[in-house]
Amino acid sequence: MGRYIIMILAGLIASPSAALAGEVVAKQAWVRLAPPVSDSTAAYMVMENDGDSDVILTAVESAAAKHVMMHGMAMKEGRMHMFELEHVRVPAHGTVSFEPGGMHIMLMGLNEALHTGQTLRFKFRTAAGESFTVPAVVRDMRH
Amino acid sequence: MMKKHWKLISAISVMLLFAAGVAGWSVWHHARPEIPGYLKRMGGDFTLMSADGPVSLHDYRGRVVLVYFGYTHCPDVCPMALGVIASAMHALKGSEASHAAGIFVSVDPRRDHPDLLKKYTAFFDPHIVGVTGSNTVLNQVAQNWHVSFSVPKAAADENYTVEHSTFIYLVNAKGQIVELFDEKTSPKLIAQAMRRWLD
Ligand SMILES: [Cu+2]
Repeated sequence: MGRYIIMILAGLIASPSAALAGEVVAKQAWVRLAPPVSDSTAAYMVMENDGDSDVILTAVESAAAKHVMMHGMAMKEGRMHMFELEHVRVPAHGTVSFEPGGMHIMLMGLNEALHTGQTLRFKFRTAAGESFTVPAVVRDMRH
Repeated sequence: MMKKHWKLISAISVMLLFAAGVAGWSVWHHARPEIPGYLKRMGGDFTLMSADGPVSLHDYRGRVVLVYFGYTHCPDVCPMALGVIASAMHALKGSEASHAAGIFVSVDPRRDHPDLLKKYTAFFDPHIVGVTGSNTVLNQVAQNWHVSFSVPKAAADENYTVEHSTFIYLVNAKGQIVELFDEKTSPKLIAQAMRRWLD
């Protein structure tokens, strides 16, 4: 009986619930509905870390597009330019925002046209070897 | 004696407040600010290709125009900017609206053919026209408009990003650039500016 409980607990620990790695929770996750013609878009969310240690995001994956990555954005020589981020630190008891006009989850080469209300899944990996999945709803941002 | 004094002060105060209100209202309503010097040195006419034939800036004389340079595969800033342009145009009513227009110039002609541009801009507002041109023409327009952009050497079917300036240009009824905004400007503020230059 005691052995059983331990096995169940081990099973729970091995499969952490969605959108949770260590103490990180993703909130307000959404994806911009790409205009027709475009096969690129971006996803946005706020990562909240309630834990006592920093969590470092090292990768993001999604079946929605050929290339999915964490992107930074900066003005350089008068041009807006985007660059891949190898890792993003979510500080202990802090938040990090992926937001319009700033750091974002880049989707390049969408496998299918998106539609409003659809949910895309993003799997994040952390430097500690954990992973968690964030569902994000496609939103039409017009007017 | 004291009472009289206060009456005078309050009467003057009321008059001053009233005068300030009238002045403020008329400035807000009628002011058409000077075009800053650095904007006078930018811009100029161009002719580029839309799905429905050539489009020139001088076709828009008598209307205020919002002009933006970008590309359709842009994931973030271009959809934001076009959303802002569409909302600003949407905020104008009646004859104001019919005297306003938007032009989206793609600096990525390798992928953005005019018919694709038409579908792209219609998503935001059918009154925004999508245009592009040869690299030679685009480079000339970009130089005149102080637009900086860089398209990587890649095949059209590769996924690549384009670096580009992010100004939303407000062009007055005479074809002059009069104000600059970007994708983070509130549409309300842009609509106010458009009204100012329509008066
Ligand atoms: Cu990006």
